[in-house]
Amino acid sequence: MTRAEDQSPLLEIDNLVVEFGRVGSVRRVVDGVSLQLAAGETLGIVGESGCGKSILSLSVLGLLPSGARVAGGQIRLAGESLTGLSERSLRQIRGNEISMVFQEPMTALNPVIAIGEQIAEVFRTHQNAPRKAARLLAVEALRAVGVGSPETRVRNYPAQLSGGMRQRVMIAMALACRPKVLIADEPTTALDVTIQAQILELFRELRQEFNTSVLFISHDLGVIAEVADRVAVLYCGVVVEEALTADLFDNPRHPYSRGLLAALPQPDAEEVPEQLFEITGTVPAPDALPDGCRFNPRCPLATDRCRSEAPPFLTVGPAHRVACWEAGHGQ
Amino acid sequence: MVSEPSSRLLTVRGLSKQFRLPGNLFQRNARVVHAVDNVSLTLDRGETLGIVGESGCGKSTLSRALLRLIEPSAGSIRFRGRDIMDLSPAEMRHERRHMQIVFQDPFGSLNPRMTVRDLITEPLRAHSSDAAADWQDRIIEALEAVGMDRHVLDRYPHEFSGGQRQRIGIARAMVLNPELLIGDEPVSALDVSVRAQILNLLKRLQRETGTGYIIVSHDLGAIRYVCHRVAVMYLGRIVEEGPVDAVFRDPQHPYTRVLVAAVPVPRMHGRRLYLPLVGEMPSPLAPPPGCHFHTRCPVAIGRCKTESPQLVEIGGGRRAACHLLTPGADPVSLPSTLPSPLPTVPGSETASMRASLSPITSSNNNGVR
Repeated sequence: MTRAEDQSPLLEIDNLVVEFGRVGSVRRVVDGVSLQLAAGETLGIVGESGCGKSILSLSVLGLLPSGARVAGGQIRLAGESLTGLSERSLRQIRGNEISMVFQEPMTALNPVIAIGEQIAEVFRTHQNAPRKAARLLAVEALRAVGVGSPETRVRNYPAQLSGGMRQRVMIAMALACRPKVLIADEPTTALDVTIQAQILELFRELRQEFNTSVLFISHDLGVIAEVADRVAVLYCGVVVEEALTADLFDNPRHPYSRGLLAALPQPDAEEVPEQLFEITGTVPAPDALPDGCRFNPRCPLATDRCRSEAPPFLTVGPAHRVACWEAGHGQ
Repeated sequence: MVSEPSSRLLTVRGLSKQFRLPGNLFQRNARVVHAVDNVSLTLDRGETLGIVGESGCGKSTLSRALLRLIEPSAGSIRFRGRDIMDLSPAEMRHERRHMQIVFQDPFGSLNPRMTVRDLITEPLRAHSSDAAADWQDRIIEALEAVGMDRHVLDRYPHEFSGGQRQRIGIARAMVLNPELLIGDEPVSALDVSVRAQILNLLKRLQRETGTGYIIVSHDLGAIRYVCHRVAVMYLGRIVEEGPVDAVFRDPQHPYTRVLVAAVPVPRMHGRRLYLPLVGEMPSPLAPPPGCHFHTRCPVAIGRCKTESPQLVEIGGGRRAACHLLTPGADPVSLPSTLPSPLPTVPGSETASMRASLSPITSSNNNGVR
């Protein structure tokens, strides 16, 4: 579980800054994020809408939407910098070294091409596999992600598949070239819980089998608890807490992490509170961020220092770091 | 008919809704979807009933059929002591002032060209017998009840966040003081921190007004928090119903067990060990015969494939539709307490599948889950 500790990181995000807009109206959606992902590790990134988690994941692949740019920092894969690489070099890395699974497989798959053909294309493009061999590889790729009778499934079109099946196809494509790093952006959010459980199980199996490192992005703390070895909590473009999964859920230190957990009713809890904990207010817009700690207007513990000075990222335990002035003062 | 207690607000019996899909070049015969199949339920004043299930189980169709926003194909709905199935469209419109609905999407369900004032006035204009001069107070009262102040009256929906919009949607529904409020996934589009605010708001409003709620959701956590009772649906039918804490903490129907165990919980201790259910929900166009769940059920027996189980009392104010749970008639009973393993049942698939139903709680997350 602590594989992260004793290995140099495979993927390293170092003080990354991503901005939207022009001079004068710049919005920083990722502001100085540093994260490490070790080989075989699953790092969960959790946060609410607008926290920058999707932009962060897209920046790793150089797939930022137009108008967004990396304004600072480094992304390194096995020690080599990805920031500043040409589109051509990035294309070599995408699919081969790093690949991605998106939330909505219906929009990510081509509706008029049979899925077998779409998977085969990955092998032809990235591994120069001949047409026939690529087709056989596509069948095997589908089998590996638990699709039944893959020989006939390859002839199906995306619309003929259920949501869960489409997500399996996406994962098969993403893993086709055995990438070192898989970025999964809300891969189960569009699925029903029983299907979600199947896909989460698939992630666990694939990890054991191929030792793939996974950057798993989700808004769902429950899903993160299921799959992640470590978790980074993102708020308004900054990491506010980072810890081993067990530490984060057993002993959350940042008021935001604690608030999120307290605000979430659990279906099989022994008792439900008379009133759920509320985090007051809403996430501020990226062009109207408060001074000091970004969480201070919603924080029950905020002091004058929180309102003026951004807190440093302090180590509070083994592999446990928190950006909060008050977290050091016990619970 | 047995006389109803005076606290009874809504009694639904045998409600069904079929949708006919037109045939096409290749399929001559029209196909029929049984979206809601013989559903019976009750709701008392001041009570909250949750309806849970996965997509395609018919929960949204049911919520609309209860208001006759979708015309039911069969069944009866008694609301406030009278059968509303016989009402003319005009009478039904009049009756709807007592039954309001809040939708999932706070972006799509509010007219972007109307101000908050217009939005909340609209139901009053449609239903209120008060003089228009008295509306202002009621509008402000409704707005304040949902935690917003009067300064927002002349603003438009796009100026608000999702949570604020949902508050406006609730104010709009509550301004008429309805006796029944139906929420169709009212918090599903909202972030965790905002979701808690809206759930608390719904609970508080109920305490203050005594409105009966029916909350439709796939979010079992939210249902547990706001509801008194819950009905679990699978392919158009209710498979289990009862007090929400009992149903979620000690589920009886095999589908409820799988559903509850499949919800990922944000904690490391006391998690239910879950081996995923094989297969997917069958198409509602061609539901399996017998018990709809038998194709995925790890403990199905021969009878489940042919005979549809009735929703019967299983004690503790609970009902379930499962041959294995039917008192007296069952060849093998499911264990009543959770940690015990399920008995070996002829016709069940494999040992591992059986294990998927025994929700052994794991004390930590290390090792294989």
